[in-house]
Amino acid sequence: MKLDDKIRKSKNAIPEMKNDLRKQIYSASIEEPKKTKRFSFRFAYMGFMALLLLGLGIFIGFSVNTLKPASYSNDSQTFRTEAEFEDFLKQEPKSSGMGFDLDGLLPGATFAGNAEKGDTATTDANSIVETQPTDKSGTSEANVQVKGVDEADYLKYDADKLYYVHPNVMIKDQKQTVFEIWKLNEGFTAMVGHYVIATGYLNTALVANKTHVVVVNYNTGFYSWYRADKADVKLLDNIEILIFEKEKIKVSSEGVLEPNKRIIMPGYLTLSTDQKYLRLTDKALLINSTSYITDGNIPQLQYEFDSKTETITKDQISYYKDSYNRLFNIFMKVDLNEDYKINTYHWFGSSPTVYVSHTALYYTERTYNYGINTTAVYTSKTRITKLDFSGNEIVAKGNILVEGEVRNQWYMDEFEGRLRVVVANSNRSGWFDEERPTKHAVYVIQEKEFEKGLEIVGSLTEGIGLPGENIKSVRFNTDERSGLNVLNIVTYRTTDPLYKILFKDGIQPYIEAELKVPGYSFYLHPIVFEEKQILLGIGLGGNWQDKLSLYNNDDELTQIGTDFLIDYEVRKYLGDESIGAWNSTQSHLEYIDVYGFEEGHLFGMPIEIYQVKTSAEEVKYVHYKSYMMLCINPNCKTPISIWKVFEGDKVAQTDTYERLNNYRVIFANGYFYGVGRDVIGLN
Amino acid sequence: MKRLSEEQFYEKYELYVQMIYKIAYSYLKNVNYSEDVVQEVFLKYLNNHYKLASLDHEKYWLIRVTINESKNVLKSSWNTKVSVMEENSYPYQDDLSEEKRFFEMIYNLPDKYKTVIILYYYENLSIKEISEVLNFSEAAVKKRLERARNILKEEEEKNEIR
Repeated sequence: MKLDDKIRKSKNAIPEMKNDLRKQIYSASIEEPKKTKRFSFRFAYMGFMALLLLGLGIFIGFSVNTLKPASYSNDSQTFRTEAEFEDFLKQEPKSSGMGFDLDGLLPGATFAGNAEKGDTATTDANSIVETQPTDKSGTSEANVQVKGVDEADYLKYDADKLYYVHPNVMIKDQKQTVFEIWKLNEGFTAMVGHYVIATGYLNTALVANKTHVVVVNYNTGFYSWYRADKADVKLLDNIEILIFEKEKIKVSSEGVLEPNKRIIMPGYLTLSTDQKYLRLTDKALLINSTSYITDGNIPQLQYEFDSKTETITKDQISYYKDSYNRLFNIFMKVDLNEDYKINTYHWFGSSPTVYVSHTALYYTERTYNYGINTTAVYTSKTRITKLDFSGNEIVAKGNILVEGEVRNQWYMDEFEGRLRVVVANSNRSGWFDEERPTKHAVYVIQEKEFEKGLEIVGSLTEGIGLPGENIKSVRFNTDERSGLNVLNIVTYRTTDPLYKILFKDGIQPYIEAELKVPGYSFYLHPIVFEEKQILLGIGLGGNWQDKLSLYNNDDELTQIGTDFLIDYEVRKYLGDESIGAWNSTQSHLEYIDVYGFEEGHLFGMPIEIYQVKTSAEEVKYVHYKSYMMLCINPNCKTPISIWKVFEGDKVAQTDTYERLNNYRVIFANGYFYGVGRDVIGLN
Repeated sequence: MKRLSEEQFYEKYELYVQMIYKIAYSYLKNVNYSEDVVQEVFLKYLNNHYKLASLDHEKYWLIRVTINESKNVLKSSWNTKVSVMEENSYPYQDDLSEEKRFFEMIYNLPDKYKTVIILYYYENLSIKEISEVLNFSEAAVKKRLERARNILKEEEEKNEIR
């Protein structure tokens, strides 16, 4: 059949109209036109959970700091007898209540002793030019640290589809989390299908690659022991993995998405399978789950795959004798190419910070903690363990102990098989004390050549930060293909330097340049402009205003132009003195996209606009969730300028202060979309 | 403004309803939504029919309004997302008929190509008529039509290889 005929005949695929509307229309034209009944969606931020976690963080923070240093053993071992296993659990430090690192709760979350905006860094520089998926197979990698290793987020998108975890959707008078797939078409959006997440899961995140979208639902043990009624704790404490194959996505006649595979991975009072413990390469799904052991019970360590249940035996569990944490960790690898074959590695301890390359997972665990009142330079030590998952089995390659702490995944980076790690001393409280010695460091670590284990082969232990200064952000900017190998660190607060650190022979770190700037960036985003490395900093200015700054990070380290003060610029743009705005990105929990064009870059940023409405009775603040599009061109006199501000009528408008975290601007196939309460085209 | 009688309106309804509905469906792939568009378009027609000079103008006007209304529905589909999901199922199933598969390919075309395909093949409008409806030059319509055909052809070839 000819193409023309096929096109003509495809008209027959259009179903018949269901209703004869003539009378209805004619009547409506005489009366008031009938409005189509529409569903409404409402959601509010789960602030109570954040408060709960914050509260617990405070509680735990002070508890952990009372711990005494334990003796150190560099050898991990597995349990040989039942008695050994039970003895290990009994040794749990009672004074701590529960012994685990704060870092493990939420990556970069602000807990006690970390009162200022968190330490952070941003995305892989190489991802910048590739954040615009132009074909249907590509998926945005804007939020990944390692190119090709996807990280959890609440949205992913490719050229024509958005995959979105939509919280608090009102369905039948109940707020539900819904996984949705949206079609993106030249600035217009339409929903393809949805999957309502079962009630009881507290958090949902997703990862995607060219072939798969994986939705992971999980909860934390907090909720279990927070609950008075523990009857359904078992139901709550598990991880549900829903795997959708992009080429085989099925939608029922009710618009419900059907996962191609579902895996249940029960934890025992799962504590913190946080979204940052989830990765997806082009070959495998990687999950690092954590379970909390309570009341000395021996956990039932099982996971289910389809209808099959496998039990992990105790002799498969590794532990460090000196570890004061008793969390049970499972690192699970699901092979996507080999019929979802599962490999696991298990250990007792903790894994507060995880870095994952294409072949290895590095997890950290703080081992020593001298308390916050010490005058010691370092108040903790951190053990870093390397697990290699490149082969058929997951293999522990060794561990190493370093002074100080590794605060989040951005403190680590693997380059040519070596791990580079930034460690900070423990003065993370933000209490500035210029008398306090400061000893931040950079180490380069590799596997030992002739024996099992890791060793330090390069280090920089002097010169990062003035006395009392704390690290505010860390950013590795590397590309093995081009040899790009730069580390930027921001410390605060005497002179607020931004450091540029290079690696001699790829091994020995040294400070190449430092730039003193007022305020600091808590978020660093590399941009390539005319083949030059530019750094976009998001942070706070000297007057505590939200600011954006551009730095030349190439031949020299200089600031480009002046700080862009968000509040001032938005007010000026909108021409209304009663209006102001602030950055509503969530530090490094929310990554940003910078979209490159020949003539410059566009940068979409969620902001919160407030308007002061003064009447005789009261002064009222009205808040809008909104989006701001910026044009970035380092060659211009004004290198950062507002291209467009989308005001509140486009997005959520709240009379009361409602901090919604799900706001993002995405750029797919040439069009901008705002994702938040709704998914809308912004062009 | 002279109001159309019920009979007069029914005549127009008979004449255009399938055209409006099918154009709308080609954009929305949802019966309920397409019927909403039919309703909206005819309501607008009832309020504006007296402004339309000729039958041709009437038809072109209705097509334009239908396309705009359909795009508006797409744009505001966030407001009614539960409904819009109802009929999006079959394109993702494996056992599509040839016609449905082709319809799906057309539905997935960028709007600017989809529009010319629908008007040319579904509504049998000439290049000249399409150029009047869309207010483009005939050359531009031809170019879009050619490009749309090429995309469909490429897609079809890919399917045949599979």
